[in-house]
Amino acid sequence: MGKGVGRSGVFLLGVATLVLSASARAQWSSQLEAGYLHDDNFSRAQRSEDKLRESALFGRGLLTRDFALGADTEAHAGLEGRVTRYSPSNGASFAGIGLLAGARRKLGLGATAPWVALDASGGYENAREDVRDAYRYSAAGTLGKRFTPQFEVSGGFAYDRRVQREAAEEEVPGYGAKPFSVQGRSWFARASYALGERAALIGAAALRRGDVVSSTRRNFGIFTAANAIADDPALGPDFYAYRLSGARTTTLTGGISWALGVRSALEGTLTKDDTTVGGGLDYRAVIFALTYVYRR
Amino acid sequence: MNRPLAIAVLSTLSIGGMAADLHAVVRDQKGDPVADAVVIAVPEAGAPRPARAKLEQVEQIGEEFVPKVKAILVGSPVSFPNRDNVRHHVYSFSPAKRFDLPLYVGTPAKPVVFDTPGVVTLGCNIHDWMIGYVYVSESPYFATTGKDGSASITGMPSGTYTVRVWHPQLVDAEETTRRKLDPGASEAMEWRVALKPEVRIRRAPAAGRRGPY
Repeated sequence: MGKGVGRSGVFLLGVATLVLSASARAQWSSQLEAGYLHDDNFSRAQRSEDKLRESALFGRGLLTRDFALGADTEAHAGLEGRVTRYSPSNGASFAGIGLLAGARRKLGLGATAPWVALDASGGYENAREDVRDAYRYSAAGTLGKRFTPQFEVSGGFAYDRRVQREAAEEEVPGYGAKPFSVQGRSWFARASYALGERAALIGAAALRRGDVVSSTRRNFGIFTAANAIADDPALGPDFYAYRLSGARTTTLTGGISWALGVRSALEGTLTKDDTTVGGGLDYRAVIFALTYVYRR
Repeated sequence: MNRPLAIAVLSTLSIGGMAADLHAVVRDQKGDPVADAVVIAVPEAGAPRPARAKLEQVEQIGEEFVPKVKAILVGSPVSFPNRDNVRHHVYSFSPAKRFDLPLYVGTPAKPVVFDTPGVVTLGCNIHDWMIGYVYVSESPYFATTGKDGSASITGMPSGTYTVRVWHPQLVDAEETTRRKLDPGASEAMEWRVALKPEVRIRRAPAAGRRGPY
C-alpha cells in the first residue's frame, strides 16, 4: 500500500503543478459517460462451467484543465471518477477515482497534419470485495493522422499496471497472494470513418503481453501455471483468482458511434478478447457495450 | 471644376438616381433554399473603382466560424475575433490567401488583408472540425444568401453583368450567366445548383477518450 500511495502522491503532485502553473491560460472541460455492458466470460475462465456471464451499468466522469504549451501543443490534467455495478457478481462492483494528464502535439498545420500524444493516469479502485481493491496506473504514447475529413488512424504503445491493495490470505505456500497485481504492455491501433454527419464506424485492435487474472473453481491445470492465487468471493464462494504471466491477448473492437449533437454521442461496440497463456489455458470473451458520451 | 471631374460627378449622380437591383433566389437540386451561397455580379464594362475597403469580421463562436461563409471585396482587411473562452489557431492554405494566426484569445491586433480574388478556406489547428470560407470578390456587387436562399444586390449601375453563384458544396465550378440591367430595373432571378453532401470532420465526443474521434 505504501508504494502505491507513494506513486499516487508523486502523480498527484505532478498533476497539481501542471494545473496551477497553467491556470492563467487554461480552461476547464468535462466529459461524462454512462452505459451498459455485457461480458460473456467475465471470469476469464477456460472451462465452460466456470465462465460467468455478467452485465454491468457503468459511469465515468472527467474534469480536466486544458491549456496550451506553445502554438502546436495542448496539454491537460485533471480528475477522473468511475463507477461500475456488475450483476449478478455484485462483489466485483467498484468505484474509483484517479488523476490523468497528457499532452498532444500537432506535427504541422492543418487537419491532416500528423500528431503525437502522451497520456498517463493513476487511480484507486475500491471494490465491494476487498481482494479486488487496487491502484491502477497507465501510460500511453500515440501517433495519429487524419487522411481525409472522414478517416483517421492512430496507433501506439501502452503500459498498464494494477497493484492489489492488500495481499489476500496465503492459499498455497510459495504462491503470491496478490493475483490482482498485474502489468502488461500493448501495441494498439484505432481507426474511425465517418459515414455522414451522424454515423461513424470505429475499429480498434490491440496486442498485449503480460499478466492476466483468470477466476475459476479449483483447477489443477491453471494451478500449476499460476504464480499467485487468492479467494475470489466476488464471483462465488468456490472461485479462486489465478494470476497467469506471459499471456498474449489480442483484442479486436468494432462499433458505430451516432452523434446526437456536437457535444454528445451514443456508441455501440463489440469487443472480442482472445488470450493465450500456453498449456491449453486459453480463453475468449466477447463484450458488448452501449455508451452515452457528453462533453462540455 | 475641370471637365473630366464634372463628367464623373454627373455619371455618379445618374447611376445613383437610376440604380438597378438584383434579387436572386438559390435552390438546390431538390428545390430547397440554399443558405451561404454567394451571388456575384461583375459588370462587363469593368468594375468601378471600389470605395475604400472596410474592415470585415469572421468571428469564432462556440468553436465554429461565424459566419460560415463571408463574402468580401478584394483588398478588404478581415479581423478574426475569438469570442470563445478557448484558444483558436486560424489558418488558410488557399492560394488566394495563405496565412496563420497562432493560438490566441480575443481579437488579433492586425487584421488579415485579402488582396487576391478567390475562395479562401479557413481552418483551426486546434479544433479540426472548424471550417469557414472567405469569398474574395473582384466586384463590389455581391451578396450572400440567407436561410431562405435569397440575396439582394442593390444600387447597381445599369449595364450588362456576368452573374455567378458560388457555394462550398457546389458539384461543379461556379455557375455563370449574363444579365442586362436597365436603369431602375429590379431584376429577379432564380438559380438551381447541384450540391454535394457536406463532408466535415466529426465533432461529437468519443467514449474512453477526451474529445472526438
